[in-house]
Amino acid sequence: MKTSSFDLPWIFLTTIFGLFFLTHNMFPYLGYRYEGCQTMYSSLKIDYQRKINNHFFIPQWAFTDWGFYLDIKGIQVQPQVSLDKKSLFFIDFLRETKSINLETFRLILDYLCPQQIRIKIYLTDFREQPFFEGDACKESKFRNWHLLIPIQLFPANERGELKRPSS
Amino acid sequence: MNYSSRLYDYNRLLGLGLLFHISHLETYQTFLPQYSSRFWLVPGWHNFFSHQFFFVVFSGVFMGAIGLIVKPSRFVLLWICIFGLLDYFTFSFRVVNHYLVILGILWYQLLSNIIFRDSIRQSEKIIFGIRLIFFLSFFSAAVHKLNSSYWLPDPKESFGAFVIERAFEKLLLPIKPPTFLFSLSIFVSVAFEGLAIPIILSLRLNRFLAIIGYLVFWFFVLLTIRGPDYTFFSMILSILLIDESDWQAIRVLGRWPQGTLPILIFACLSVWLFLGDSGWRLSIHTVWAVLWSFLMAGFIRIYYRRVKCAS
Repeated sequence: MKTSSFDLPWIFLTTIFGLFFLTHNMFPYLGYRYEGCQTMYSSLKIDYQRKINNHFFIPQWAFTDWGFYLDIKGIQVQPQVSLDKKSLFFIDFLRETKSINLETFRLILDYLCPQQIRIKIYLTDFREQPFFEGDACKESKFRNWHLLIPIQLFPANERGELKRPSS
Repeated sequence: MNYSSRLYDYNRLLGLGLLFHISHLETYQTFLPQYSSRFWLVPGWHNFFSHQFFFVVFSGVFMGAIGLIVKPSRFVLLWICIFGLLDYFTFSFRVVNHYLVILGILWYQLLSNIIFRDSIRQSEKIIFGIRLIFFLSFFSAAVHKLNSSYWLPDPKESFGAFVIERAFEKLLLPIKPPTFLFSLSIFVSVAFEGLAIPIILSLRLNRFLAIIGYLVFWFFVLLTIRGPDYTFFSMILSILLIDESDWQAIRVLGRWPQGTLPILIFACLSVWLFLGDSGWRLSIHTVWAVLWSFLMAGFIRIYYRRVKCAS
């Protein structure tokens, strides 16, 4: 294609877009997110905490903890009277699910904790190592959710399907 | 917009694909919480945002898709880009790979239109950009698959092997697929995703033959995994892999009855393969099969015309 000075904005635009796409698709290795990065059906497995993956040659980083998934081993919620429908849903959700994304957990606590609800929870990582035990509302690492980009509530299975684990 | 006809038609088909994309069950789950526990995604997804929010975003994307089908204008592009981004940056209806690709294509076109006023002269450049976005997406998908799990010839670990297992089931073959077929499928799927677009574009004489192979591949994928929107978006890219004059020759097939009738018969045969599905999925597959038949007939026609001229 003939290139003239008029083409410079087009070259700039196309390059920026290309770089954006490539960077976004490499987000799983940077620890930002997994979904929507062309990872579906790829069997790519990532352990963000140990910073390892099953890729042949791309190493793993974890610049954030947004991609963490935690296993819920036990939960106690007090009190449960006079709560709105959304709070009740969140509490049911935490009780029923086995795994949860850390950012989603923060988002839920952001709604529940200001209502003076105590959430005693025991969380482990994928290696069954203890991650947290105690009142989640008092824990600083569960405050302030950051993620505007959506993230799935449950970890994907090996085929990249978002299936809810049986409770 | 003064687009060339194939870019114009491509955008209209993009709108149709977007309708496919948002018409999945998860969307209804968002609006109809009583069905939440029945469907396979996340029960209570709607609780993270209000119903009003979902309604506004869904209506915005839906109207944008209709607008894109009716007339892809700068305003429609702007509309759908805003609502699509709102959808993507919240808990969207379906966050899947191709949604970001489609949004990227729409944003790229919108910005190109703002930068280049006379867009008919720029159609080729916009088409180049769309090809690049698709290539980078396919390439990334292939790179992600270079991992120890995907290359195991085991349907439980690798999707490449799973597709073959599913194909044997669909074709009602009484035997289990041999291991070498799993390995072959894994290799072919990675090679196809990584190399299909550059190989097709590098071919001059046999480009139509390569595109026919490309379309057969997506038909096979649809038949085995039943993902009509992802395969639809990949299929319609074939329009942008040919020249404007060739697309004009294919469009002639839309004339009734010389072109349309044989295509409809062909499409009926294709739909027959999807008869196991029900409801909305069958209707989407029907539209898919009609368009696939149309494109196949067009590319085969041009290919034979080229062979005739060459001989």
